[in-house]
Amino acid sequence: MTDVVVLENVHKRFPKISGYKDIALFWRRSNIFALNGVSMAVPAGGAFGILGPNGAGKTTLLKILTGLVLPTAGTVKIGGIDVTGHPERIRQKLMYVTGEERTLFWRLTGRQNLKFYASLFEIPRSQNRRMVDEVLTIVNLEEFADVPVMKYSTGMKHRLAIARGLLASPDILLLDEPTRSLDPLSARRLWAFIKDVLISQLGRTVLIATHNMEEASYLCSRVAILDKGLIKASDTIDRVGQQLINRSLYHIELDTLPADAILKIQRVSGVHDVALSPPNGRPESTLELSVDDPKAHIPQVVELIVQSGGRVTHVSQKQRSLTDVILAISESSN
Amino acid sequence: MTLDKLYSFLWRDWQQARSYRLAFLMQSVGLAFPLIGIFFMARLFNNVNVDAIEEYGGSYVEFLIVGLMVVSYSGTALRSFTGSLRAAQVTGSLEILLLTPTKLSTMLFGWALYPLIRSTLFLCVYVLGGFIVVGLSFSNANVGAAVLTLGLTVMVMGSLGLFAASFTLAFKQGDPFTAILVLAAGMFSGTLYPVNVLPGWLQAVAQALPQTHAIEAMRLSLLRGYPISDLASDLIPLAIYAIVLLPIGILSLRLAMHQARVDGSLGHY
Repeated sequence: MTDVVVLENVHKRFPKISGYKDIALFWRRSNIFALNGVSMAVPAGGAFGILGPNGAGKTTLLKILTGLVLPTAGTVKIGGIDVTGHPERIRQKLMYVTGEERTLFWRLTGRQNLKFYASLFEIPRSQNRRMVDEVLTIVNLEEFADVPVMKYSTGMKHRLAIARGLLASPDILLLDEPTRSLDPLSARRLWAFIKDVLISQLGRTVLIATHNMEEASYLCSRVAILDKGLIKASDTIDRVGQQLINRSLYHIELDTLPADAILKIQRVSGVHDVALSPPNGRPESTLELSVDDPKAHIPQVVELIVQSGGRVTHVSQKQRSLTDVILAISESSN
Repeated sequence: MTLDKLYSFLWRDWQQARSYRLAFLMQSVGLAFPLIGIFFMARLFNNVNVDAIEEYGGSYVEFLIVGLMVVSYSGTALRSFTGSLRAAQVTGSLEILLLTPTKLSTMLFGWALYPLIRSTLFLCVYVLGGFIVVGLSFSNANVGAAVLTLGLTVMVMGSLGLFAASFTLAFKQGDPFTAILVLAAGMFSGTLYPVNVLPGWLQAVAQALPQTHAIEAMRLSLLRGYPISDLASDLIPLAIYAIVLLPIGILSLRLAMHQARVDGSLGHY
């Protein structure tokens, strides 16, 4: 599969400016290191997630791809074209869509907003109306096309921002926290739209910067985990978890479990994060735990349960959720 | 394509302006206020012959109308770039606009179009007011010289506007040039009184202001019908300002844009 976005050893350093003193004494100001040698490749088609906690460098990374921010060092190529050398050619290939609602003109209607941008995207006047109608239909806003944007819900504004991005007919869409400030229902509708329409129907490559793990799990086939300006892992969601966390997650289903057994299990070296659900040890409860060495520790834990008078019905290894992965990264960083 | 884009900016600003119905109404009503001011000025000064403005025909009201026209127009040319840029920074639309295949120069002129047209409308109201109140007809006017003066004035003030816009792009708030230039023009460029009533050292300051030359050339071309050759002492300084300031304005804006990309501050405000 062809890689449409390739970053090689990209660094970004921002000057720390907190007042006029930092502007005047520019040779003395310190720097913030937003990206510290990011290398990654995004294959064509599907959704690729850039995940990480706040301040990880996700937005900086997306803006570097658009040319809105210049990298301090490194190479960024979109479809084989260098971003810093040919920004005007890059603009034909990708579009940045931000969840920031105020980038739209609120006093204008949805159609008027799109008509204005269609002209800036150099869509001939004869095709302007057709294109605007087309993208309004894609984002399912044709019914509200002539309503001022200020009367739109947050979800509708997000969809209009995506419609604006689609006007440019880009191969790649960069979505920066697309469901930020959306309620769960609206977020799910937008996810379905991204997956079913943008990716499946229109065949766009979508890069999503998010810290919403549910969003990434639903939409993305591959992800890159970014933390403090470094790519910690870049792979499919399943493999990323294994790469980043050495401990294996297990569920032990129980018929009965005496109260003191939990304490004994917690004391076993190499066993971590022991949690019983439901917590009061009723029949048919599940014990969740992570272990450093499954071959050694799982038989040891099962034996302890049996010795304490408990009964194990089933043991299974579980996939790490992305939330676990990000939490583990944050904890290790802190 | 560029014309199409400029039209789109104008159309967008017009749609936005008229969507604020009360403000739009107040602005339209506000067009009448200069007329009221001119009416009372005429009552006060119409029969008074002021020696200091004899050079311009002696009528203070005519003298004042032309001064206000030039100051209003040059102020708009100076402020519109930085005002629109600031608005785009604050709303966050600047980054999105920069992602379209639109040159920054097209964007800036697009932003300036609506305010300039509005100022032209104000200018027409001043002329109409002058006609109604004091019979100002510009019958002796040298239109070619006046248009040349206006063109040079817009170029000079626009160039300073570009410089102010680059300051806004780099430092967000606190562009000091616009406020100083507008204030200095109001006080020393001969809008309300001729420059020759100022003390000698302030006259030197006035001569350094482009607005002084713009007002002088406009008065002499409109009220006395001076040909371009007789306006050389004002048009040459204006032309020099335009030749020097335009590349400086464009260059400073490019540098500010590059620096904002390096600092990642295009979306900051």
